[in-house]
Amino acid sequence: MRPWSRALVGGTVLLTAVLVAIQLTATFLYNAPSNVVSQRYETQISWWMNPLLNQNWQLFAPNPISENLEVDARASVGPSATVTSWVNLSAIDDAGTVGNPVPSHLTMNGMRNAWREFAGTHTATGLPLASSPMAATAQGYLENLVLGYLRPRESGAIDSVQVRFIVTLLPGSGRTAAQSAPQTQTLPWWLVTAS
Amino acid sequence: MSAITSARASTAATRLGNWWSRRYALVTDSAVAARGTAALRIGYGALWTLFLLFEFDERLAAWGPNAAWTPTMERTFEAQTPMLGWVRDWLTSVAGLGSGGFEAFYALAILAGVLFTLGWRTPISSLLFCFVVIALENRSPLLTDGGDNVLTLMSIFLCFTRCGRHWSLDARRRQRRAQHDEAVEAPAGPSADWRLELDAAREQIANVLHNGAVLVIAFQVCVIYATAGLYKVQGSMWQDGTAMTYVLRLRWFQPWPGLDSWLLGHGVLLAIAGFVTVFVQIGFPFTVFTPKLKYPSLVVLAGMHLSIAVLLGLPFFSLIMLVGDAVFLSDRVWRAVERRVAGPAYAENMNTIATPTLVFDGDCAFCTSSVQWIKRWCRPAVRFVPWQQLDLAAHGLTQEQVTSAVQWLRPRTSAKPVPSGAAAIGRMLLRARWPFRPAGALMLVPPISWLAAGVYRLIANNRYRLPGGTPACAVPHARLTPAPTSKAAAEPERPESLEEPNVALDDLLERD
Repeated sequence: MRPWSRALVGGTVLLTAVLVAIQLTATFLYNAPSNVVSQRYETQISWWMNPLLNQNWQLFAPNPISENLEVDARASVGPSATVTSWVNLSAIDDAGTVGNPVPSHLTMNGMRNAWREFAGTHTATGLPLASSPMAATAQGYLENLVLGYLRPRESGAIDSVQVRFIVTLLPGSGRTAAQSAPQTQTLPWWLVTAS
Repeated sequence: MSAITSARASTAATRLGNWWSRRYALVTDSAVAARGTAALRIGYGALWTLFLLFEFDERLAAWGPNAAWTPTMERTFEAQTPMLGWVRDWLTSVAGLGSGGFEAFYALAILAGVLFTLGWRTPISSLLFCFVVIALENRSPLLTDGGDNVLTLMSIFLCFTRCGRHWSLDARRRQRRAQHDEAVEAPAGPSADWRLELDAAREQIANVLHNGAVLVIAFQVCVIYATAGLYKVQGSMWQDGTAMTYVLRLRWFQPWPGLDSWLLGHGVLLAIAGFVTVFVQIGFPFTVFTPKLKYPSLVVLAGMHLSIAVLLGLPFFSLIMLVGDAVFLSDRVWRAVERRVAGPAYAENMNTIATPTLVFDGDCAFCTSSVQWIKRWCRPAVRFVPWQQLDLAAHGLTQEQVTSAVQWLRPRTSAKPVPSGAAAIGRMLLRARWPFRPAGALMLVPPISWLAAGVYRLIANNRYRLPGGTPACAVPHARLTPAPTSKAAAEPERPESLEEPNVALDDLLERD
C-alpha cells in the first residue's frame, strides 16, 4: 500500500476509535446513576446523547406499575349544552387489547402516557404547575385523545369536556383494603376550541 | 546485565508491535459479525415493515396531521431540548406534512423497511431506513415505548455497518458479477493503479467503520440489559418476588386475561421467573463473553422476550429487544443456520476438496435435467460430473458401472464398493437442504432402500425413453471439450488426486 492510502486508513482508524470511545463513555454515564463524573460533564453528555441517542431502560422498574387506571370522560354537546353520561374510555382500550395478539400503539401507550404526562405537570386538582413549561401541551394532548374517543359517539358538536381518573391500587402484601379502594380525581371542565 | 535488559525490552517491544499489527489487521481487513449485523438488518427491517402494516388503520390518529399530538405540540416539545438545526428539522419533518404528504411519507416508510430488509443497495437503503424511523418515531413521542427506542438507536448504528454483506440483494448481485467476470474473462485494460489502491482503501475504511459500529451495538445491548436489571434490583417488588403478580394484573397489558389468572395461581413460579430475569439481565455483560454461559443466558432472555410478547401483548417491543441479541451469535452458529435454510451448497464453498461427487450419464437428457433440477431446488453440497468428462480408470470406475447407475465418489477414500444408484441418490440428498435431507436418510434405510433401489433400476433402464433437456455432452466416449479459459488458467495447478474429479470441466457444467 502507498503512503497516502495507508494514512487515509490509519486516520479513519484513529477517528473511529475516538468516536467509539466517546459513544461508549457517554452511553455509560448517561445511563449510570448521577455521579461525580456525570455531573461534571453533564452538558457534554447531554449534547452528545440528545436528542438522537437518548434512551431510558427503566422497564417495569424499579417497581412495576401496580395500579389500574380508568379514564372516564363526559361532554357538553350542542347548542342546548346537554351533558352526556360518563363514558369509560379505558373499557374501549381494553376491548381493543383482549384477544388481540398485536394491540396498537395508541391502545397500549396512548392514554397511559398521556395520564402520566398530565399527572407530572399538574396538581391533584388538575391545575397546571407553574414550574412546568409542558403543562399546556400535556393538557391539550389529553383533551385531543379524549375527543378522539368521544367524537365518534356524539352526533352534535362538543363544546366542552370533563375528564376523571379513577386509580385503583392493586391489592398486595402490605396494602390495606382502604388503600386499594378506587381513588377518583375529577378534572375541571375544558372548553373545546374548534380545530 | 544491561545488555540482557535491553534485549528483553526489545523482545517485549517486538511482541507488542506484532500484537498491534495483528489487531490493526483484524480491524481493517475483516468485518466482524458480518452475518450478525445482517440478521439485525433483516430483523429490524421486517419488524418495522410489519409494525407499519399493523398500525395502518390508526396511522392518521397516531401520526397524521390531525393526530392527538398536534404538529404545534411536537414543535413545542422539540423546542425544549437544544439541538442542531438540521436535527430539529429531521425530528419535526413529519409534523410539517399535509395529509397527502403524510400518506406519501407512510408509503415511503414501508418501502424503506422492505428495501432495508432485502438489502437493496444497503449503504443507501440503511440511510433511508434511519431517516424514516427517526422521523416517524419522533412525530408522537408520547406513543413510543422501549422497543421504539431500541429501533431508533439501531437504525443509526446500522448505517455504519456492512450489514448487506450477506443474505441480501447486494450479496446476490456481487456474486453474479463475480461469476460474470469469471465467464467473460476480466477486462483486458488494466485499471489505473491509483484506482485499485483507492478501492482497497475504501474496503478497509468500510471495515473499520463496521467494526466500530459493531462494538457500539454490542455495548448498547449490554447497557440495556444491565441497566434494566440494575433498576429492577432496587425495587422492593422485584426483591420480594411479587413484581410479576402485579404486572400480570395490569389491564393495559392483558390480552389474555384467562392465561394471566392461571399464572397468578402459581406465585412461586412467578417469583422464580422474576429472579431469573433480574439475574440474567444484570449478568448479561459478563455472561455473553463467557463461552459456557453465553448461550444459556441468551436462551433465558429469548424465553423472557417471547413470554412478554405473548403475555403482555407487546410483540414489537419484545421482538425488537430480542433481535439485538443476534449480534452476539458467532459466525459458526450463523453458518449452521445458513446451511439449514439455504442449503449446504450455498453455505459451503464448493471448491473444497472434501466435497463428494455424483457421477451421472451426460448422454442421457433425463439425467442431465434431473441434475439441473436437483441443483436448483435441493442445493446439495455435491459436485455433479458426467462420466464422459471423467478419467474413469483414475477413479477406479468401469464403463459398465457408470452406464448402469450413478456413482458416488467420496473424497479422501477409495473404499470399495462405491455406492451407486439409489444409495448414491440417498447420500446426495443427505447433503441437500431441508426438507430433502430426511428423505435422503429414509432412502438409505431398509425396507425403503430396497424399494428405492427397485424404482431406480426401473427408471435407469428406461432413461433414454424419458423426456428431458439437452444432454450435457452430446459426443460420447470422448473428451473433446477444451479446458475452459479463465478460471482454470488462473487457478494454481492442483495435484490430481485419485479422489478429486476434474475441477475445470466441472466448472463448465456449473456455468450453464
